[in-house]
Amino acid sequence: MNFMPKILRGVVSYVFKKPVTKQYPLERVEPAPVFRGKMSFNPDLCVGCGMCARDCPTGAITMEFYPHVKRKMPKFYYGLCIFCHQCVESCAWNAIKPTTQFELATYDKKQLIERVSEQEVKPVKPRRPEKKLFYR
Amino acid sequence: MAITILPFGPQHPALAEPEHFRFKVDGEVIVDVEVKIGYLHRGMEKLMSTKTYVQNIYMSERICGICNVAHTTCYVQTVESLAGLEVPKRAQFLRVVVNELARIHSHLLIIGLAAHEVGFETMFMWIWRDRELVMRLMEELTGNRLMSAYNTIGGVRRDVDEKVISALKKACTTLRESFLQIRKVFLEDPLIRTRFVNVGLLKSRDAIARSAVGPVARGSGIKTDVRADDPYQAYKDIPINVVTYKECDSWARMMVRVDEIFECLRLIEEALENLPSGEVRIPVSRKMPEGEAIGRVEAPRGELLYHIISKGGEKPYRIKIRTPTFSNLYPIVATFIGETIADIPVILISIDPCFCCTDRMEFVDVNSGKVWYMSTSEIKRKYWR
Repeated sequence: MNFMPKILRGVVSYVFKKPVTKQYPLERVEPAPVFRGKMSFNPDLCVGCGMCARDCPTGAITMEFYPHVKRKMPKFYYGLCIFCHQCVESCAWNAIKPTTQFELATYDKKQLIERVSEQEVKPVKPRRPEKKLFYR
Repeated sequence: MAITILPFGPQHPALAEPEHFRFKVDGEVIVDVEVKIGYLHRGMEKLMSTKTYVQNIYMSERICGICNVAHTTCYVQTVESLAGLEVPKRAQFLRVVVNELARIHSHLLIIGLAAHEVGFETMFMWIWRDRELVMRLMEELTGNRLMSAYNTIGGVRRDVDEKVISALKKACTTLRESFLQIRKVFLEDPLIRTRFVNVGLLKSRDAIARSAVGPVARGSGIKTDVRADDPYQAYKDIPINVVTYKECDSWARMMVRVDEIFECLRLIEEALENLPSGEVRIPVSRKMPEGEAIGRVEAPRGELLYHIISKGGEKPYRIKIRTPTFSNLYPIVATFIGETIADIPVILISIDPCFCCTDRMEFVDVNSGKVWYMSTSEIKRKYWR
């Protein structure tokens, strides 16, 4: 019972405080800047080496062949993705970049598949950037 | 009075995880217990031998969500000793920081649940409010609240900056203050003491004979902790004080966890104070040499052991995992005998059960109601490769 004064003080102080819950869709809560969210893919930088698909632990990335440029491109299926960002790490060409986007809920499973369209893929040879790779 | 069988689980309001217990009760008093494990068997060990070493980091993380950092630390440590790699000092210190943060969050979770189980809802809310602070720190440090994906073979994946370090240090001070209050409640509150003290007695002798690990063994007065006995990572540089209680009951097991949180906070502060500069990661090969390796770490629930057999190449040949709850289940079964039905949740919660860890290794031979047994060599011949 000797905790009663302390508990009561806490109760009274919470009466005058704002509620901790946020009205989410109206009031946005941003995750930490280092949060691992959805990946963004840049087809201009991709050479189609397939290291992202090879290192993906869940098989969320599959390689798809584009005949007009004669190169493969990754297809992301976010229904399987566990957001470990191993593909971001494995990409030697900086084609896959991390974002903090987390709102991926959808009614249609097909919307979770992200592939680049034929028009977006241009026959350019990307230049290899300076990036240190940790798995050889 | 006739002996009745009381089935408990796999779905039960007092037990969050699916496990089946058959309590033989004489009125209110338990006379015998049968445990049937295997409801959460997911075949993870077999699946791990079909994936590469890089993919298995994320696989081992998903064996148990709550102690995911301990699982990855143990996995990468075993692979590193298999390959003979030396991890940079800064990475070792950061691993300690993340491990201790995860330990705080795991202990806070189970202490809160213990309060919830005895009907002390206010305490549950207080503790989980503090746990939220730890989860936010985890997100700032590793990139996710729970699934950290922080350890990798050859180091850690992210470096810390000054902002995160100062946030961690500030949070340590805040947590210590609010935890002194919670410790006082656990020491003195009549509700907690009535439900926990002298319930589920596990004598030191029994705990050793039945191979208890972690806080269960420490609550019975046995000074055992992998961090002190066989120091790994930066625990070699930061010595730890092993918390033990001699009461041997459920209350002692909970108090070990309460006191360990202060120890964790001290370790985080010391690791951040002495954080060496330099690289956090070294490049490693995707292929591992042939050989065998064993690694063990102190997970929040006790000793965790990985055994990896490699026959060269990108994939391991076999990974064997022994989790703490599997070791702690056998000692705790004996403590039920002589207690009443109302004490079941309290005793179960006092070992901090994590059955999704445990059930990974079960081999079920039940088909059309018939039970038969197979030897290891038979299993190997039939199912192995």
